[in-house]
Amino acid sequence: MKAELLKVILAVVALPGAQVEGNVPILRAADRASAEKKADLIARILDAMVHDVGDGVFLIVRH
Amino acid sequence: MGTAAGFLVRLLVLRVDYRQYPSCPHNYLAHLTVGFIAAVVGAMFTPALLAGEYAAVTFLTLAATQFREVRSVERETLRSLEQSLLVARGPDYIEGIAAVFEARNYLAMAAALTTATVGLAADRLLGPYLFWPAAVGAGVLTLVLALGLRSGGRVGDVADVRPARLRFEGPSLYVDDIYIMNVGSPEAREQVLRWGRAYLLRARSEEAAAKLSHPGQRQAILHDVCAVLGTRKDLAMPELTPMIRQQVETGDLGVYVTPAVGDDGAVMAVIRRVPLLESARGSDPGGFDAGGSRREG
Repeated sequence: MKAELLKVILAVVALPGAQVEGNVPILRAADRASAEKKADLIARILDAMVHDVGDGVFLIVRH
Repeated sequence: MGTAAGFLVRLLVLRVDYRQYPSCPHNYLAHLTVGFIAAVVGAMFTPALLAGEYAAVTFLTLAATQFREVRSVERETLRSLEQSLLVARGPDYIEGIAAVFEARNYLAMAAALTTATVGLAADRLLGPYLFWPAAVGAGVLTLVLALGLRSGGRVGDVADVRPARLRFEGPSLYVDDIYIMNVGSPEAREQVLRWGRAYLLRARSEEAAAKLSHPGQRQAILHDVCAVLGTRKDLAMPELTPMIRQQVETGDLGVYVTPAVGDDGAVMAVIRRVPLLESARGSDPGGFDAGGSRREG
């Protein structure tokens, strides 16, 4: 049986000016469209989901 | 005579067993065979006792041990399949199914035992020609009883289902006013609105509400919808994972599903037919006068 990390923030995509820091990969995106696209791609690659927590921060979380 | 009764009962019990079988057609035979063994052991019990063979009691307990084995085998099978299911059954549902498998063998055995005993009693006490009529009568009676016992409650017995509106408020997905989840990707939101369907499940009593809100029961509902109607969910599309969330104030359940086929009528029919799980049945506020009928609205 393989172990999987669930309910973990895998990455963060942030718009300019977003208040983010921490020990996860943080991708800075130039504008909203590019941020959404990036977040979407990462989520698909990792079988995870994008959550928009507002203020230009997108969390990639696997459930 | 005992063998004849065993054969008769076996036929009856086989039919009971066959009809009680939930949707899993590939191992009919295995369970029919175990059911047959149960019937033979049950049918042989009384004649063996009459013949002074008290070892028959041992065989009953032996059979019971075997049926416990059936239960754990079924549990293991379902549990190992769980990993490759897009929408899991959940441990409560698995335990319920396994318990039913075990119980059905006891049912088969009890039916055989009753039939053989009644037949023999009629034969000994009332006259030698009454064996068959009495045995057949008792067999039919136990069959009817067994069929009655077979079906526990269903969701449709205790709750009303109606279609609801699936909508987004920013990134938040709602079923009517019940919050389901946060979907951050616009593309995923489009997919959710395209494939998702929403229903509102309202229990008719507080007891029923307590049972339905049991997470195992909710998972069983979701699994059944996906098992019958398929799902649009994919490994890389967790947004299409079906979910049930409760509204805190009213206890209503917002059901979000993504069936591959079927219309609202089909989905609602499936939801109504989901069995009420025994583990969820434990909660019974009515026993403490906390229940009662719920207001309309």
